[in-house]
Amino acid sequence: MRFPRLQALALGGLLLGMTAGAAALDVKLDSVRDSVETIHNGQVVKVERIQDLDHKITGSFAKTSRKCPPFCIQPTQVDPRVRTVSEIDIFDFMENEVVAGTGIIVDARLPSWNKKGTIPGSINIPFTVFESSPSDPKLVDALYKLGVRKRGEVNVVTRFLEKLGLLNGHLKTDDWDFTQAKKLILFCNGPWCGQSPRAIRALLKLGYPPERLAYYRGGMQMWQMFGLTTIEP
Amino acid sequence: MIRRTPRFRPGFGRVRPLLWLALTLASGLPLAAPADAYLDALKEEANAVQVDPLTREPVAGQAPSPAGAAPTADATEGKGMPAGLTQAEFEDFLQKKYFGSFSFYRKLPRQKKDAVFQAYSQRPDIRFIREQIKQTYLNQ
Repeated sequence: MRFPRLQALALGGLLLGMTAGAAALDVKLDSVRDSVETIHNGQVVKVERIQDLDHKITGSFAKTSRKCPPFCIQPTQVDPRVRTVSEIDIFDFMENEVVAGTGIIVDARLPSWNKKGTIPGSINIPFTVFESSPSDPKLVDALYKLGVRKRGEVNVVTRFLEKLGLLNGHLKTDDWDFTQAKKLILFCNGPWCGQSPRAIRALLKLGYPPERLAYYRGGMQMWQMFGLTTIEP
Repeated sequence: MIRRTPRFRPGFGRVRPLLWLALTLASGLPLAAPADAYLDALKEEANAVQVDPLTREPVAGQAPSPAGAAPTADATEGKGMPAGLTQAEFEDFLQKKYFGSFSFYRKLPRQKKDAVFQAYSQRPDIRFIREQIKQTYLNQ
């Protein structure tokens, strides 16, 4: 993904839409915004809410119950160092970090879930990829998309200094350089889904800076409950 | 010499599988990997997923959304901007009508904002102004 091009496209996309008054909606995103626009696979997608006040969701995300285990209600926090965020945070993230190219929304579900519909602007990296071996090319490719670089042989002295906290050592491990790692918001199916929590734990284990991770616990369940736009990848 | 052979002990046949099971567990060999079971459950649940079609938004250029869903096209596209606004009025207009453009315009330094306003004064066309804002922001 070329972020300079993406940034230009995202900027163009945002400039195309986002009218606050010309087509005022009854059901806004918040008290200020009717919608936000983002880029999905190079195309502009407007994220709004369904305007039909009588609409109720149908389909699988209307289910109240699934077997637990394996689909148990997840704790509010995945890790005390990782923020749990809401829909409003995602809108802000779309308008700021995603546009600037410093942030990525990650759909951590298996492709079989992702292809049914996802949050616009997200990329799909299944949690199983993050749980792969450090030498697995899928993991290397996925982390590359997130701004993480695989390290080669590191000089012993350099590594010693890094472990002392010098040379940005807190952003480097034996295997990975997280200096340019993007801010991420990870999600999956909702508060009953363990896929994004597993992805987050795997990323933490790899050494991903926790302050650059966030957990959208609401996931597709809440996204759909609010009538927000989804897209088939 | 009387050779005694071990007599079959009733019940041992039923114990042997249990003994095998205990030895297997003690050896640490997993009978079924929990991770695989979770993946299987995920895939099975995914096959049953039906998505509310009304939330699905087509990408620009595809078929329009069903009734009740949000429109994709910007309703103001193609419409001009009022001419002759002062810079303050221009900024106020951008903020109210074209917040996306305004969110980038407001991040520009004063000198570049003035340049965008000058461009508007010569050509009050929103598409032109958006392009000006975009190019100015990217080329900072």
